[in-house]
Amino acid sequence: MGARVITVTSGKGGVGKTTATANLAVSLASLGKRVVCVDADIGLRNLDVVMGLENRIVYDLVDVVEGRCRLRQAMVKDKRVADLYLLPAAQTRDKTAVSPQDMIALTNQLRTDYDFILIDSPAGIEWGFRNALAPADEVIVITNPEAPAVRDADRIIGLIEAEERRIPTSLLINRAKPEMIRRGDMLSVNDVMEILSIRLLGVIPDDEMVLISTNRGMPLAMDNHRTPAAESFRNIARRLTGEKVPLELFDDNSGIFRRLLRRLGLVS
Amino acid sequence: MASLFDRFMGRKEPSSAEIAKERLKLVLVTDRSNLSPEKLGEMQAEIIGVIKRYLNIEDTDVLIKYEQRDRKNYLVADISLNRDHNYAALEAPAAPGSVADDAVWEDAPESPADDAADAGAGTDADTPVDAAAKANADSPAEPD
Repeated sequence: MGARVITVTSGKGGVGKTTATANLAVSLASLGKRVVCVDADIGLRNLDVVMGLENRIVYDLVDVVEGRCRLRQAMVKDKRVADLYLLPAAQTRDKTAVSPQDMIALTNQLRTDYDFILIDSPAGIEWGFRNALAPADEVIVITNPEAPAVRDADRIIGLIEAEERRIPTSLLINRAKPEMIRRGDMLSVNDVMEILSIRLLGVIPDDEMVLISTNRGMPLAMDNHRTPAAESFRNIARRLTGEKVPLELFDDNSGIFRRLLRRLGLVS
Repeated sequence: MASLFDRFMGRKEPSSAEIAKERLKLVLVTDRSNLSPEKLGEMQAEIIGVIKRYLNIEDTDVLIKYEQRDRKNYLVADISLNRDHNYAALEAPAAPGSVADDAVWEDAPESPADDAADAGAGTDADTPVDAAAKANADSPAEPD
């Protein structure tokens, strides 16, 4: 069976798409899956920096599409984790250098050799997003528990639903702050779910270690860190492989919300 | 449409998260339906005008609400009937095209554009939803 192509998108910029893509890629590879992550943000290359692979780039996505190199030559192998590869974005080109058809052709070449192809989508709803969405079998929408992010996530979900083909979509709530939620100063997981009403994949708590790991160029999930965000990323990776891992909802100790969401079919 | 003030009237000071949630729901009404608040107000006035041709009610007896169940959006007309009035229209056989008291409209998509297709958008009802609406709901019980 071929790879699952999963596009990670959000609408709003800065909510954690690239970090999530990197950490999910590492977590999946650590579970023994063969993973390639693709930076689809042409002109604003970032996935390489988050993964700490910025010094290893020779060719990029646009070189492949324009025939200057073979696909394999552009793929950077991460030496720290088995079966993990990065296909970097171009840094100096504009986003129209690649088309949705190019993205589909490219991922089709990769499907037989990998279990997961994660595509880091740029922010926005235009060309770059369309490129990232074209080859997707599934989409993960990333949002933060705050109004502008949720609003943009709603827009993105609407655009995905408007596609002719059905694309299963799930939600990842990033940067949740449990104490602020308990105080009533941050939208709760339940609040966000009530508004967006798609399947919840997981919740990542706000965690200083995310920045620190980006500083180091070593995604959290790599070092068996036991910090909350690392645990959550690992759990999400496990859920993606079909394992049933209980959700951390952070805003309720009695499990009521969890049972409610399960009853509504919104939780795996 | 209920204003932010109406929603919180009579309740203790809302938390900032509650305020954010209500603001989000309101702004998504416009985002999802692609109708400005002015247009929504015009549409509401026209709907009330049509209802008043068949039922002897006051403007204030009709509340147009936007509801969301799962990701489907519904426009709901909540029409309160005063038992003291004599509603001649109710005794006559229903004319084709007339609507029942508990009508629920599911708006057709505005256009085949890239934008989210559904017109009308949702907020959780503060008042009880019409029985017909509940019967038509796809999903099981609503979250509180």
